[in-house]
Amino acid sequence: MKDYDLEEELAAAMLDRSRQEPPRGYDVDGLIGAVRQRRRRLQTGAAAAVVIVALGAGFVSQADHDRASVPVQASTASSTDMPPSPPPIEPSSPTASAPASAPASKPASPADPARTTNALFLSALRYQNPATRSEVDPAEVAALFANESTYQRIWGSDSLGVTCGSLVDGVLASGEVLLYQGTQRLDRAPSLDFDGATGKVTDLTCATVAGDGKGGDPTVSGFYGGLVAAAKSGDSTAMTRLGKQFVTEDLRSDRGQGPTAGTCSFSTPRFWLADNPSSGTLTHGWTVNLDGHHGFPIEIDEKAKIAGSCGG
Amino acid sequence: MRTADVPAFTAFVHARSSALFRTALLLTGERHVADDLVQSTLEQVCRHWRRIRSADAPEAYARRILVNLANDRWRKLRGRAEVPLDDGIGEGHVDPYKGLVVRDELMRELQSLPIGMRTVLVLRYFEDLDDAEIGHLMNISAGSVRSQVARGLSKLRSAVDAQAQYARSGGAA
Repeated sequence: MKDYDLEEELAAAMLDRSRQEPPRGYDVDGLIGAVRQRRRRLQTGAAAAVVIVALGAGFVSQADHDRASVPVQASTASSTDMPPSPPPIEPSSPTASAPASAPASKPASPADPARTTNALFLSALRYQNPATRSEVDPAEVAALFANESTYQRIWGSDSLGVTCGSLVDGVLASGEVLLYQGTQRLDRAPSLDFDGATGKVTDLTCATVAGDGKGGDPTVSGFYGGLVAAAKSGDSTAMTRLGKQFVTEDLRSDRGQGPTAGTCSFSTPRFWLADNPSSGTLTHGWTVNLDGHHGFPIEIDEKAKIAGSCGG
Repeated sequence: MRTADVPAFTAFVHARSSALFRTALLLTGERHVADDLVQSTLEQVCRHWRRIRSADAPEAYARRILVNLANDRWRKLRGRAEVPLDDGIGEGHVDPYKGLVVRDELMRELQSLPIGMRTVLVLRYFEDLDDAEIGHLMNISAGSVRSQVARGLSKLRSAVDAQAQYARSGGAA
């Protein structure tokens, strides 16, 4: 096998192998909890050490009192005022943190909160658009909640509780959920709690988020939010304009997907939801759902342009 | 981690953990080990989040931690016999189609390479990093990267060619 063949084959083999095992979801709360627990243990240990040193010092001091020596101070006392400084980013044994980390990894399952999140916000988007409201089955929505009272409290009669009291037409769900009206991100974002066993919603709270645009994906909200806004205003030139701004030339070309590139032919969407984020070395991606139809994957290149969608 | 940092860390985990897992899978060859590596990596990222977040490329930090953890693990296991990533078929069995499965063979042989060599190959051919980036990440020179890549490819080529020869001869080689 020649060198170039081997290199190509090796790259392809790695790609194949990496796709054979779907990544699991990593529980952020579990990760943070494990780290905080470890830090608390370290602090407790440090505090205990200080107490021992201080007691020892007191004992020595007391014993030496008659000799008028200078009492030994617990020189490490100040270390209890702050957590131990983090070590440099150096390798450490993966087994060292394994016990704390074990429960934080969990497989995707039908009770996956991400699925509940997707279904809940798609339902809210449908319900809040008069043209698609009739597609929403209240029983199906209620089934996303842990119980009837939670459903009534959060969804209510108009679904606005799900979207922090505002009518929205765009949702970006990447763990945190961001809400959009057109291309504008709302300054309030919902945070969901789930039943660990069933994946159903047990609570939803809304918090203010910084309005500086950080945390979202400008390409996604700019393109799909722009299309939604244009559809509302009847701007027929938006697809071309937004395409030039947010979609690669290749994808817009005739060899690619043509004028509706990046939309799977939904040129005038009424609402959008992007979730299931993915990432490569220089690219990242989402699954985009327009108007509540089947989601399709998009790839965004290193220049923040949509370089692939709808499997093309 | 402060509460204000949680959303950004959450977004990072959701955006980057899949890529980290894929790299870990190639470095270790085993799903559960890759899971453990990513878990430990994310914990370290969480622990140092404020510093990492202020860096230009948090992902690069995370990848570096991952590679270091993989190296650590390999060093610990170095004295033990490698677990063969074979299909369980006995030595005497002749599989006339085995020679065709070049990619499987490549992945198997990749796992038999020393961890440093394996890492440069993964970073080069999967992560698509250049020699300087790989050298920076692994604290070695670009020249060392090139030589490790060349030696790694040579070993893989030998193994694949030997496998092809074995298949052609019906297992009699």
